[in-house]
Amino acid sequence: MTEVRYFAAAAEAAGRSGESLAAGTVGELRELMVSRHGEALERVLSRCSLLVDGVASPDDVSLDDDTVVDVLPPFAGG
Amino acid sequence: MPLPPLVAPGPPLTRADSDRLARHLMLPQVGEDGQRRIMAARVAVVGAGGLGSPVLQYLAAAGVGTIAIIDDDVVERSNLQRQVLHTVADIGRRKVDSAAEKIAELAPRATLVKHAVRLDAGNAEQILGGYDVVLDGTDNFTTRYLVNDTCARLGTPLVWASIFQFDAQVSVFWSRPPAPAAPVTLRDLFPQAPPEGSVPSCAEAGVLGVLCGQVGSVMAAEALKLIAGFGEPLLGRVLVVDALNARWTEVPLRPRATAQAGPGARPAASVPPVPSVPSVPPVPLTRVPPPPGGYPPHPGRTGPARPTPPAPSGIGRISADELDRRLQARRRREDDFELVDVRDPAEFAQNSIPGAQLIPLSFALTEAGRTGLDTHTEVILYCKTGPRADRAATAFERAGFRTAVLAGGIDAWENR
Repeated sequence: MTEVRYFAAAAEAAGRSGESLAAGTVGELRELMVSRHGEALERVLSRCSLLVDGVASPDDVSLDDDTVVDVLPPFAGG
Repeated sequence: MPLPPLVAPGPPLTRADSDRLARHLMLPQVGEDGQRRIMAARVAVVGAGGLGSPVLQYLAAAGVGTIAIIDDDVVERSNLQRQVLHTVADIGRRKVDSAAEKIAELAPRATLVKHAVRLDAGNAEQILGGYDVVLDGTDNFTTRYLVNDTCARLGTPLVWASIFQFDAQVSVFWSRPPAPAAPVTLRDLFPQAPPEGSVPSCAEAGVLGVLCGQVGSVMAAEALKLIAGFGEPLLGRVLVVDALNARWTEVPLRPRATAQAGPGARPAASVPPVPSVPSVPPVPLTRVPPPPGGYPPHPGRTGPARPTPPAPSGIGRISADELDRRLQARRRREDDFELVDVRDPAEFAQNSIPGAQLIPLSFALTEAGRTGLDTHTEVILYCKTGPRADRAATAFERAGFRTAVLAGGIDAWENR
């Protein structure tokens, strides 16, 4: 299982701060998250970084068991 | 992973410096050595707004020697909810002028450099070059990526934070950290700036004013840690702040594998997996090994790594009765030592042990405070009950003195 942690707007759109999901790649994980939480999360996800054990990873990256994926939206305020 | 100090120590502290910075000098991890590094440091702060305000205030208060302020905005009424350096009277003034004026009042000896310009590809390297560390508190993606890419080219560490509504992210980026730390930059966290207009700004969606203070203070602390080489910097970690729920979470950050991988390589394949953890936060950080041949050296000024000072152990004790006997012997010139009171002048004025000289603790912790004493003569130290004398004795011992501390302090002396 992949441990997903949602932050900021991603947590708001998913309605939770994290969940365990089973996916083979980052792309599959992305589809699973959207199917569970809908369009609101899809919009946020399109600009989020998905950090796989700390590494920003595109959809083709495979996920091992016990991977932690952090979903971080960018913002620029200062 | 602790990093060596970024800045070599400047000149010894004066008595006025040691009074002002007494609370830093008493921290063994900072001490006079760390404070001298802070006072010799050259720091550039990009943005004198929400994050820049607390950053500038705390860096100036900490005694940073040279501070550059870069901002092309003027103060607006809507800024005052969070940009605490500026006041009602500053509305319409350039932020660099308002900010420099305030921090000059706080730190009159700091060298302040004002750049009332917008950073662009043509001026960024020239403006940011020559600083030991850069702090980014700007308010747009274009400038943020420019500052990041410029610091990455220069090899300058970047303390970075951004805020939005109730959320913030803080980290330290450094393209050429000392080995074995892995180089990470903003592009490892967010490879590309999002398309223009796809992400709302604080002007459009709001920001909790006080979040700037929480996050700016973290930034200033990270800068001081890098400068003086104490503690564990936020390199390779992103601190994610959720002010609405009062949650601070640590997210690991490692270099993107794609940066080194050839075409067609599976990006994650070359990265060792993080060991599994029973509960989710916090995730332990696995270091990526340095590339063959190591990283190029950081071009900035460096100093030797400082070992963590030992705990005050093995300091000799002397009882009040024994001190009394030795003071009598000293009057007969049969004994030789210096008796030093390390309390505050006001306490010394109220009562003191005859034959003692006053060197308040903060001054006793500096080289200048010890110059009147000879390392060949034993120093007996006292305070009210003992802890301050212990702290001073540790510094004296490290400077080559033989010391003893009056057990129970002047309280024990008066009750003997």
